[in-house]
This record gives sequence, C-alpha cells and structure tokens, in this order.
Amino acid sequence: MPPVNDDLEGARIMVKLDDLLHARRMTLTELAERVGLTLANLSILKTGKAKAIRFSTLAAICRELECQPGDLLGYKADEA
Amino acid sequence: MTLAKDDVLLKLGKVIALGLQALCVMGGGGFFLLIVFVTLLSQGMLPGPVDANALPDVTRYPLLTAGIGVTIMANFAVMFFFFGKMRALIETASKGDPFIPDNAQRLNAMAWLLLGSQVLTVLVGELRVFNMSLIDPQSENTFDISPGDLTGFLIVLVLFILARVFRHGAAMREDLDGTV
Repeated sequence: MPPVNDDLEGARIMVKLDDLLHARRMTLTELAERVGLTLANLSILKTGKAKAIRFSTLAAICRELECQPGDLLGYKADEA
Repeated sequence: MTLAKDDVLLKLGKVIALGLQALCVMGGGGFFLLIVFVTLLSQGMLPGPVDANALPDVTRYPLLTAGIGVTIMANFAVMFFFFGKMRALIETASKGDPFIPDNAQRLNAMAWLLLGSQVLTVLVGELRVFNMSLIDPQSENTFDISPGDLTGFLIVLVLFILARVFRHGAAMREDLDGTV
C-alpha cells in the first residue's frame, strides 16, 4: 500500500492496487491490458509515484477489479 | 505527443540556424578585419595614400567608422547567440519534448537578443547617416524607419508572448507528468 502525494504537508493518499490485485489473483500486466494502460503507467500508480489519476483510469480500474474508488484509494494523515 | 524525429521543417530549421550562425561568425570576422584595416589605414600604418583627402570617404572619420563597425559586429554577435538559442529550441522540438522551462527561458532570451539587434540596427543607421553628413554636409541624409522595419519589433513582441505561452505549457506538462 504505497503512499503518494507525500509533498502535501503530511497528507498521504494510499493506493491499494497491490492488495486488490492479490485478492483477485490478477497480475499487473493483465490489468494493464484490460484497462488499456501501459504497464509502466500502472506500475507508477501501484508504487505510489503517481501525482494524479484520471477519472477515466479510475473508472477502468474499478470496472476491471469490480470495486469502488474507495477500495482502491485511501487517505492517511501524516502522524509526524 | 511526440514529434517525428525526421520532421523536415525542424531539420531545415536546424540547418538554416547553423548556416546563419556561420554567416554571423564570417560577418563579424569580416567587420573586425575591416575595422583593423580602416584604423591602420587612417593612422598611416599601411602603405597607401597619406593625403587625407585621398583616403576613401569611410576612413575620413576613423573613430566614427570604427564605431559603426563595432556596432555591426555587436549585432552579428547578438544574432549568433539568437540563432544558437533557436537551434537549442529546435533540438528539443525534434526530441519531442519542447514544453520545458528551459525553452521558455530560451524564447525570453531570444526576444531580448532580437530587441538588442533591432536597437543596434537603428543605431548603425543613425551613425551611418551622421558619418555621411560629416563627409558631405550638403547632402540630405536621413534614416527613415518605414512600417516594414517595425516587423522585427513585432517579432520581439511575439517572442515575449511565446515565452509566456511556453512557461505555462511547461507548467501544464509538469502537472501531466506523473498522471496516470
């Protein structure tokens, strides 16, 4: 569950793509093919290096993983 | 968006900019030699006519002539850097990534360089007219600026605006990077 946007004063958006893929026994490559994204871009999202996500990408991932945006993303305030 | 690396216009632009840089070097060098020649000739340091009246008109006021030559040389130098910036700009475009902060700075620098060149051109014209009026006070030498001559200043304005467009584009591009 890698955090993203760690430059936003403590705010953390957690991307739970790894957990969802694991639960659905799906590989990143397979998901990339299904949603029409490059493996590199999806990998950026998975590793929490993405700065932003398009609604179209979010919708495609939710469609393929049969989940809600909230299942994919989470928010965590920085404790430090 | 990636531009084709074999874009003919960009290749042509690169060749033309390089050619114009070479011309600037040759022109600047030529004027440097001319200044040296005129100075030496007017000081009688070269074998030639010693009678001041026998000297070519342009050497009658060597300091003024040298001033014109230096101004023209400066103009060539300015344009050399202008075309250098232009080449760098084209290079980034042919690599497919022109919307970078460096290009905004390049366009801004190109605008200032071209503005400098325009001012130097006007200065050369004025100095030349002044020189001619000294040589022949009877003649009516004037340096007129026609609307067509203002094209250069218009391009300066366009370059300043383009610099801002590129700065905005580069910022947008930065936002886009990392968006999935």
